[in-house]
Amino acid sequence: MKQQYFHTLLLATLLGLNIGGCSQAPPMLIVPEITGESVRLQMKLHKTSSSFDWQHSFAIYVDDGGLCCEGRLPVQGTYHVDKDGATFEPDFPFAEGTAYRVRVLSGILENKSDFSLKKVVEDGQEYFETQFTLPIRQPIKPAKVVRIYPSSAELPANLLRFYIYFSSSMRSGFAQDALKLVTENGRQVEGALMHFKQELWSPDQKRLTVLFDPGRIKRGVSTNLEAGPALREGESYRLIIDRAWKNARGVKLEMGYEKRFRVGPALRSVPDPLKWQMTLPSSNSFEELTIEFKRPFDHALLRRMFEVRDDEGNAVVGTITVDKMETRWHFKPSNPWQHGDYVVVVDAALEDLAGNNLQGLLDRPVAEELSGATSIDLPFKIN
Amino acid sequence: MKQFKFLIVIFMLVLLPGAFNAIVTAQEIQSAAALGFSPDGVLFVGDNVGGAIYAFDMGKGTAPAKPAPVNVENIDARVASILGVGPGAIVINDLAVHPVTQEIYLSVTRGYGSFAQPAIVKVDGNGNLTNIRLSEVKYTKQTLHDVPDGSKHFQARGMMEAPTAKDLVKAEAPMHTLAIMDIEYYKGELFIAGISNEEFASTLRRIPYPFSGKYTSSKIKMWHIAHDHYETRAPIRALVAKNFNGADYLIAAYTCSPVVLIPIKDLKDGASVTGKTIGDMGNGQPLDMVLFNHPMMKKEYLFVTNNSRMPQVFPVDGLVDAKEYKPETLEPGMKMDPMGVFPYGPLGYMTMFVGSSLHIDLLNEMYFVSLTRDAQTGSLDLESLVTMFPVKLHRLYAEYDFPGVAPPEM
Repeated sequence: MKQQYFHTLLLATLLGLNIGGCSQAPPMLIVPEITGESVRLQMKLHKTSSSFDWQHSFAIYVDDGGLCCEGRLPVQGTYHVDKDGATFEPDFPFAEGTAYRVRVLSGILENKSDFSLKKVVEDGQEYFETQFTLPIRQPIKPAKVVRIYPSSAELPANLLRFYIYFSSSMRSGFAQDALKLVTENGRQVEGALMHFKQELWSPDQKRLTVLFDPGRIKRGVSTNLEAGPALREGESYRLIIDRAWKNARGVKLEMGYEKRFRVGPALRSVPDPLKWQMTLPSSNSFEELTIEFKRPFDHALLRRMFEVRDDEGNAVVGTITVDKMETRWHFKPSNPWQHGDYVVVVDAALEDLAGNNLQGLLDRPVAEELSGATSIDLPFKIN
Repeated sequence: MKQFKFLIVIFMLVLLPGAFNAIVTAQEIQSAAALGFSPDGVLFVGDNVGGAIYAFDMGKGTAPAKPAPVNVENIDARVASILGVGPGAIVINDLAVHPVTQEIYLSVTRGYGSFAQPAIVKVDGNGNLTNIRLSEVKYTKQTLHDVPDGSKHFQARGMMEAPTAKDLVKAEAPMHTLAIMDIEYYKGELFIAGISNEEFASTLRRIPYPFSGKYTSSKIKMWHIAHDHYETRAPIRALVAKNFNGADYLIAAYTCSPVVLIPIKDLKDGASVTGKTIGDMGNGQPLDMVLFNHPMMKKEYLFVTNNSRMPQVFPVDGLVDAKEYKPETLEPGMKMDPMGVFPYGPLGYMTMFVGSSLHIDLLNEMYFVSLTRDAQTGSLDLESLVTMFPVKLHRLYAEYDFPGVAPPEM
């Protein structure tokens, strides 16, 4: 009933009708149904309303279920007063999933007997009170898992990370339950994946970085000695993503997903860029410069850790693509290649799938120095 | 009736997206962290996510009749209440005091992840909280074109053994969280400590105010006594500007914890400037640096808070003539807390502080105002503390608390 009236009111406003003064309109408190809406007190106010302390007389509190509301601070916003009542517009939209309590001081109403809400008395003053919680809105489409990296079906025994890409923003706090690593016959590998209170999401909450427990992949660390490595060479596993995982709007995934992979030998050597194979483009062309690696690298870093420079040290503008399961890197220039000397500068922070970078191994002994170079130059000549 | 419902749906579709957008995009600032003030009430806000400095004109205002303390317990819960969310859904990033009105401004993040929104909350002399509607305040903006983008992160390192899970999480933080560390207004310019997107990352930006669209960026190098090498990446954490004998300097504090003097005249665009290392307060991360006049010593002092030790207090008058620590004149090797060598240089004394100050500023000539994590209850409180001795008597029982014992003479 209440809702219908609200809609009627909206419709009337749209059509330019004035039903505000309509005497049969029931007095009511209209609470928001979605974020971005205001709280409306649809009721004749006492004639002294211009002198009201609105923050006290028509107050909206965050309702944490505890004692309310003496000593609490109401939500701040703007009060718009008109001849038929008052509207509270919060400075920040009411948050979905948060409970709010609305209190109206009965003394501000012209005729308080019209009001049918619960009455409370605090500090000798009488209030009408109601609560509301905005439901978490349902989106049109459930999220999908669009990519999982590394993309190879064979991964090293000391794999450090998975990256899971979703088609829309996801909710935090589900990884622990919704993400499992199981063996080929379905037995869960306990303690393999790290679970943090603060999950490693990209700012848009569309990419989750999943870390293997470093204790299980590093040699000589107590968890590795006790529980053994999480991934055993020669065996097969599945990374299972449960459908129960909710997106930012509270809707489950479109379906469950899994990535199957075999485990190959651990990567325990520092990558050697001098062994990479370059395929050179010809001059006056837009052909791709290609580098083929001896092992796959972290897909995100492959897009950031390389820079092509000309003989004057200026960065060459172009687009980077990666394929062959993150073992091949392509660079297509925006302008044609010229005759002359170029160099690919590779940041030594480039990591392979086990977190080893060009300076050292992830699990190097603490005393072992890193190699000094912070970048490696791969010079080439265009003829 | 069916048709009526249909009309309603159309109406909702037309109305709602517009209304929602109006709220979300009325202000363009993406995050609010480091704060600073000009003497006439312009509030500077560092936006690490958007890579910009905003200047909000809060007005010059009038000074209160006399210096008074401001205390608000459970400030985080109260800020959350007025912003309409639960107490766990906000983070207070910095505080700054309006130099005339002595009102306290807090930079806040409301919500997390993709729902995070910046807010500025004012605390007046009576402890009343007001959300500042940023969309209604006149502002100007200087974009920083050289901040790291959100995709760069740190490298993992471990203590005694290879990195632990927490170390890996720390390494995954985006580097732009250090883009703007501190903002100091001095003689018509802003001095912004932070990092750039270059390998020689430690950067001091010098921005004229009012903003002209142009600024200079200098790379800052310094000898790190405790680490035993020159450093060019880790940023200045806190800084103040000061004139010594007619020349202007920045006094800067770094992690683990050198204090460095930088002549302002050297800060030219593209310059690589080596700061003069005059001491080291000891391991830990400096948080804030505040100049104050010591009422008993009748001298100007620096008060430096730290996340790992008590605040360090030292007079500023001797700093410009202090000896420079350089590799040539120092014993080689790491110098760490366990070796008991701190503080190095003329860096005064540690003073008592009950609890942990997360952010601090000078409130007026008598008080600091600190956002303090209480040592006993864990509550986050906004509290005023006497500058020369920031003691909290209510947290200590001593001889003087027994009946009949005369209080100590100050």
